[in-house]
Amino acid sequence: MGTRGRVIAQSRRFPDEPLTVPQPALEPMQIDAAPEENDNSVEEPVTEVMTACIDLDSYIASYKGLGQLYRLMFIAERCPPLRVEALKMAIELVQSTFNVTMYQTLHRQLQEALASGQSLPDVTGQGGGSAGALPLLDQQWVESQTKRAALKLEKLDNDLKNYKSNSIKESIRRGHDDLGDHYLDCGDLSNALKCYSRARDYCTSGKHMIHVCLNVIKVSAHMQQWGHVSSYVTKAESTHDENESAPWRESVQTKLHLAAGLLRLRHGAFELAAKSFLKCSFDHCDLPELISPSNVAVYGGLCALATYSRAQLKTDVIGSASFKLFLELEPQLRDALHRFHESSYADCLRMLDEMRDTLLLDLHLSRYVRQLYAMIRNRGLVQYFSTGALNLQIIIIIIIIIIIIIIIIIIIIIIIIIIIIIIIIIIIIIIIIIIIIIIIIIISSSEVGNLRKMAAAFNTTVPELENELMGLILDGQIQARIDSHNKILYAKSVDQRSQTFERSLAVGKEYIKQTRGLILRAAIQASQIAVRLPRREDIQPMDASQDGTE
Amino acid sequence: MLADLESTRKELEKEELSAPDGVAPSEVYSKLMACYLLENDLCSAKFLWKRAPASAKETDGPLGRLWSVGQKLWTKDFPATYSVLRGEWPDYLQKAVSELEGVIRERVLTLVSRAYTSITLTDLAAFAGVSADQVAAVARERGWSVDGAVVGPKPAPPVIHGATNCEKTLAVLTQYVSFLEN
Amino acid sequence: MSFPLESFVNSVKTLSSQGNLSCLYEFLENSSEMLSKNTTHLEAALSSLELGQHSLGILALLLARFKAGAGEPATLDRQMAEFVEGCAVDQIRYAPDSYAELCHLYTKKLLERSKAIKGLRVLQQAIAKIQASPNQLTSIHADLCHLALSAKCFRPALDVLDVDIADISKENGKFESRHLLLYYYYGGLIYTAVKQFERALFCFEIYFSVPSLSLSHIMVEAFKKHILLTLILRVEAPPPKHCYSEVARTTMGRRIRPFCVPYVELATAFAQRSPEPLLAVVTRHQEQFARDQNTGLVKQVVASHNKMNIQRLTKTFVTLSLSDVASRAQLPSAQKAELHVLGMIEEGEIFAAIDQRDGMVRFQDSPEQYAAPEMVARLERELAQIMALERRLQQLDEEIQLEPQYVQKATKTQHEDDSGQACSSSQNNKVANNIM
Repeated sequence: MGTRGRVIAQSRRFPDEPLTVPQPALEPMQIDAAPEENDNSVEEPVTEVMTACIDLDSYIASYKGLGQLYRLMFIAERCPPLRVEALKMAIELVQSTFNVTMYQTLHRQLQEALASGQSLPDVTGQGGGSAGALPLLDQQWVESQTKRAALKLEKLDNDLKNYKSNSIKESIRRGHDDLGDHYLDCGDLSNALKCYSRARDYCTSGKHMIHVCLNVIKVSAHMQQWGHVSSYVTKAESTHDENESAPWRESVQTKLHLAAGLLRLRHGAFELAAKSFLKCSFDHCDLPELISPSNVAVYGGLCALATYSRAQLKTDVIGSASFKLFLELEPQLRDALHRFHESSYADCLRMLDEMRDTLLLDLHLSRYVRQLYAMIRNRGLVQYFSTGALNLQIIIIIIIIIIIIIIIIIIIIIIIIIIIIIIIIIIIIIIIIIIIIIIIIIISSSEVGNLRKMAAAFNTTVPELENELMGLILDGQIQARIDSHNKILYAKSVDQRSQTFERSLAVGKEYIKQTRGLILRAAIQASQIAVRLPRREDIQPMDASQDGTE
Repeated sequence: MLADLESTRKELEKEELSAPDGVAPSEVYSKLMACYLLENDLCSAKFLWKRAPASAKETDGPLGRLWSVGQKLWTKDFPATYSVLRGEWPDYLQKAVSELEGVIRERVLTLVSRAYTSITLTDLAAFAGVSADQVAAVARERGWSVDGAVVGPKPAPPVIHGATNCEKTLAVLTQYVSFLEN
Repeated sequence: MSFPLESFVNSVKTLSSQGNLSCLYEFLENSSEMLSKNTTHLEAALSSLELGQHSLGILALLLARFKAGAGEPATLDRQMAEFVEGCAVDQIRYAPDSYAELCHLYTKKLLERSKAIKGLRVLQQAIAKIQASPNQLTSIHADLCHLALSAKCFRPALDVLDVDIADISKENGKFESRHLLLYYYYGGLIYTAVKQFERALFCFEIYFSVPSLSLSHIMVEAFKKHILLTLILRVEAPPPKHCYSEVARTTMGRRIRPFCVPYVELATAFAQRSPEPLLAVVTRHQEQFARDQNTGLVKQVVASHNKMNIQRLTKTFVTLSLSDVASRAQLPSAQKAELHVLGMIEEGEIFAAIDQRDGMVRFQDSPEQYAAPEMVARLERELAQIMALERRLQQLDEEIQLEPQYVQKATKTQHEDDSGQACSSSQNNKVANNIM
């Protein structure tokens, strides 16, 4: 909890800092940091989604390679209705790779799922068949793939040795690359990472370097080692290659933005993540191992909703031409964004709630869904309050100007026309002013801070809304006071003068107390008093008091 | 007695401390307790009761009854306070007790005017220790509005002070400035 | 009167009339044994000496009598009172340690006989006589506070406690840290009894600035009371500034904390909004609190927690119904809530107005406009205090800078810096910081 909180605080203070990931500091009472394989802090409890809300085929089509498998495994874990289907699809996909261990794991999970007798009603009915009850572990396939994988590995190793003896950098690099690809195919992520990293030493041009970085980023993201991802993204960003064309450079930029955005999302730095996602260009969005364009829309849109102010939302998200293309892929999210901007908060929150199940099944987003939703809701409450106050102030200013103009007109008329007509006109004007005041009262009771209207807008009851507002006021996000008798929210103005007096009196009192303590301490030091165990002989008092203090 | 309350209290304290063998006549204790109650110093009253010798603490003696007044004041049980105060008292305490009743009533009514915007007549009667028919008169005396069973106390208007001496203020201000520049 | 005593009396008379008081002091030190052997005849010796001229001699005789423990208590008290009232100040200034010891023995006797109240005036006078300045601390201060606590009469002790200490009397080397700690511990207890909690907190915070190599029981008890007081006053623990060393504070805290586990739990439970955890901790550790005689303070902590809840409401609400106040501050009923709010208004902790007709409470901001003459007078008073303190600090600073030891070491630092030795300068800085 401390890590995430600290990261959010840092990201809010220095929004333009280059991408650095703060290391989690040790709590003073901890002896060792808890050893962790990856940099995730697993805190969200596993929430299972009971509705089959995703069409697996179209969902999976936008991904490739290991990304597909991990996502299917995640969905299988979290969504019991879709479990069997997801596992079967995963097994099919796995059989086209060399990843034998993954195949065995998936098969075992499928066994467990079917044994607990879940969704499929006709388990006992269909005996054999490819989509039937329990497909047997294809032992032959396992053995043959292992052999083939071993053979290929040997061949690639030998090739690599040859290249090394020939000392041609380019071929060595390509050899490492191929070896890494093969390891990736077999599912051996750590070795793949090692090979890709080794290829770095043999890079001759910027393009190769970037290629290596992208590979490392992909593998580290699969292994969930976000520290590596961050360092390699920085490395890739700082590498330039003038020989390559602009479209290629743009596509690399986009890929790096995608990786950076994903990394920041996993660390809970939502504002920075939104920034990165918004910088991506739609045509070059090409990182199917990790993330699909509709993912970009969802991640970027949600993070922006939770952290951007109204003005920023308008210019960077709704007004952005490039991001609009992403939003086309997720019409629900686009509608939610528009509703939020138009201040129809109830509709926006309802739409987000409808999308919630789908989002909980997303591999990267599920652990942050609750937090993001709470942030969006709080932001809505604060905006509701502040815009209302602003509008009322503007209206009051306009009305005062109108009244002043009317008074000026009155003065001119008094000079010219006789008294009786003047009196009649004054009476009419007084009536107008009274009407305006009534309008103000109606407007104020119907717009600013009327708790009942606010509760309807946010779809809660008035007592619950009072509690939420109390929390926000104590946090200092709204300067207001609640009138529980008339159910109105008043904006509070701070009287600077009395606050200054109060503070100076408090400072004075504190100073007096501390100075007295200081003088006393000086006296104690001067007489060299120290609490110590009684000793026989008198030791040097200077040394004793030295040891006892700082 | 109220006029020079502080000097009376100091004298009584000195008398208590210099008493032979640490035990003063019980009159001293009762008078001192009355002084503390008049000053609304309930802590000192409590400790006086704790340290008074057993001879002064007879069950129905004046010291005991004064301390029960103090106890009721601590728990804000005003009706009981007034009832105890209305009992029989020895001569040397009579004046003090009647003054005490007036002082307590004044204090409570100031508190009510500060703390309440409307209060039922029964509650006000309990606070002021008067009967129900008299309480409306008491309220009207102070300029409070009486409306059926409910009274609307107004806070007392703040006291206006005289002007201060300009030269003295200037001298003080020069002192501050020279201190800050140092 | 026996022979050694006669010679003693004569020597006292001669030395006193010569005005050779330091010799007299040494002579008295040497004859203390002789006096203890002749306790029966001390009365006669006492009567032959005059108070105004031979105070030192009478002091030694009285000390011997008290040590022996003989004699009727009433006469001893009377003699002590007479002595303190009539002794010559310049004479007894030569023997502050015997004077202090006499007072200690006198206190002990009084406490044994439970007649503590008699000693208050005597000790007050005794302190006034021996103090070199009104801000000087002697070991008799601790005795005075002890007596005041035992007698439950705090006025004389409060007069002494209200004066700030700027100096500590050495009493020829017999002043121990125990006296300092006890004085502040008893002082803190006295302030807590009369509900001056801020001064009490100040007294208990002294413990963070006394240098200590080992832990004493007084410190542990003081730390417990300190925690309770911070909870009652609802302030945070003192922020470390230049006068308390932060290291000492945290090391103290860490060393003492294992002894005061229930109190630390109380502090953590206090921070929660609902009163249930707090009450649970209180019931769980009831015997521990009773053993430490802190049950009264613990009850006040619980009351303070209620007040904290109500104060939180003032920050967020303008008006609130009494039943809501009861439910949000988790009080049992609206009646109780009204009583609580009334109590807080009386003490000036919140500003509110109760409306019994609607059952509403309207919270207001402090009506203080900071424009009245009293406010100006208060500001002037506090500024004067601050300026006086600042002057005192400057004085202290000058004294240290003129101290020959400091000048030596400071110049030595310069020489050694020139010759490039860094380690000794850091040591000197440590010394200099220590002196500061």
